[in-house]
Amino acid sequence: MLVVNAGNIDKDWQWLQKFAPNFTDIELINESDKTALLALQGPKSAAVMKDMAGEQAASLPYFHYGHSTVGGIKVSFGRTGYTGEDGFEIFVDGSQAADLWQQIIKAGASYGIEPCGLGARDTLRLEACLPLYGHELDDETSPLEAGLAFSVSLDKTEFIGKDKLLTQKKNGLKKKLVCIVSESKALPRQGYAIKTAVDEDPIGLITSGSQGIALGYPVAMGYVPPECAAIGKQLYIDIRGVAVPSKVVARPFYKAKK
Amino acid sequence: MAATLSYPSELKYVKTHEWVKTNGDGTATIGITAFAADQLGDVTYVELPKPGGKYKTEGKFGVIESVKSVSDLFMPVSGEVLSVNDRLSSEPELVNNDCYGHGWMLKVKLDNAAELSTALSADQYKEFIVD
Repeated sequence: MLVVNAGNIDKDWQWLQKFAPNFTDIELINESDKTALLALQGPKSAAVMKDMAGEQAASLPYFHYGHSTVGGIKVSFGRTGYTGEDGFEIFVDGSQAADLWQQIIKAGASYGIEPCGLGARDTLRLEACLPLYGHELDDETSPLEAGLAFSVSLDKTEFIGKDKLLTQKKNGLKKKLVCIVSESKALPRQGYAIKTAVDEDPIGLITSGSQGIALGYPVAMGYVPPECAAIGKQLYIDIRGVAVPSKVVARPFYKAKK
Repeated sequence: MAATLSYPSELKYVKTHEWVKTNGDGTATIGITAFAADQLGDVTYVELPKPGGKYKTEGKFGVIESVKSVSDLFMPVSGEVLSVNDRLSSEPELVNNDCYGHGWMLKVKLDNAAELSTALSADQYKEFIVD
C-alpha cells in the first residue's frame, strides 16, 4: 500500500503506471476516491485509541500497521503521522468516515481532543522538521538534499534514480536542507531569501516558516549550499527588505516527549 | 463568529479594518478592528512606525503578522505619529485580546479632523464586513 500526498495522487498514479508494465506480477489499484484517512495525533492518542479499539490496537509499535474495529466500523491503521507526536493514522471506507470522526471526537472528549486542519498540522510538522511536498520537496530535489537519506537504501541492487543519487553522494550535494532560527519576531516565510551577509546576494530560499507553537518563537527551513549548512552557522533572512540575523540549528526544533 | 465581535459606537472605522478614536484635543488613537484581529488569528508580530512620521490617509504605516498571514496596516486618517504602543513588540497578542484597548497601535496628531466625516460608523462597518 502507498499513501501519497493527496495533492499528488494523479502525478504519482501516472508515474506508477508508467513503470508497472516492466513487472509481470503487479496489479495497481487506486482506491484514493473511496478511502478516507483520519489522523489521531498527540501524546494522549494511545489512550483514546485504547478506549475505542482496545489494548491491542493501542499498543501497536511505531511505524507498524494493523486492523481493528471501532464501534462496528472496520478500520486499518498505522502508528504513524506527520506531526512529530505519537499518533495513529486511521484508514476507513469513505462512506464511514463521518461516523468514525464522530466516534473519535466522542472518545477523545475527556482527553481534551480538538479537531485540527492542515494549518495546525503544518506548524507541527515544521517544528518536527518534517519536509513537505511543495515546500521542501519537489520534482527537482533529491532525498539526500532533503535530509531523507535514511529513507533510501543505496545498497539495493537497482531502483529508479539510484545512479543519480550515487553520483550526488560521490560529487557532493549542491544544496542542503537546514533548520533556521531567526532573531526577529517577524516570521520567515516560504520564498524569502537567505544570505550570508547583509549586503550579499542570496545563497538560498526559505521553504517553510512559521511561528513554532510549542516553542513560542519563529522557525524555518530552507536550502543553502553545504558549506553554509553547519550547525551554528550565522545567516541572514531577508524579511521584507530587512536582513534579520539567523542561525542554523540542529534538527528537529522540537522533539516530542516519549 | 463575526456576530460575537464588538464594534464600539464611539469609534470610526475604515474599509481597511482600522479604527480611529478622536480624543477631543486634535489627536486620535488608531488600532485594528475585532473583525481584522479575528481574521488574522493569533498575532505574532506588529511592526509600527517611529514617532514623528507623517502619513496620509490610506498610507501604509506598519505590518501585522499572524501564523496565517502577513498584512499591511493603513492609516485611516492623515496625521503625524505622536507615539506608538511599545507593548505590542513583546505582547502582540494584545491585538487579539483587547484590540480597542491595550491593543491600540498609534496616537496621532490629526492633520484635519474633518477627514473623519467620510469614515464609517460602527453600524456601517458592521454592514460592510457582512458583505
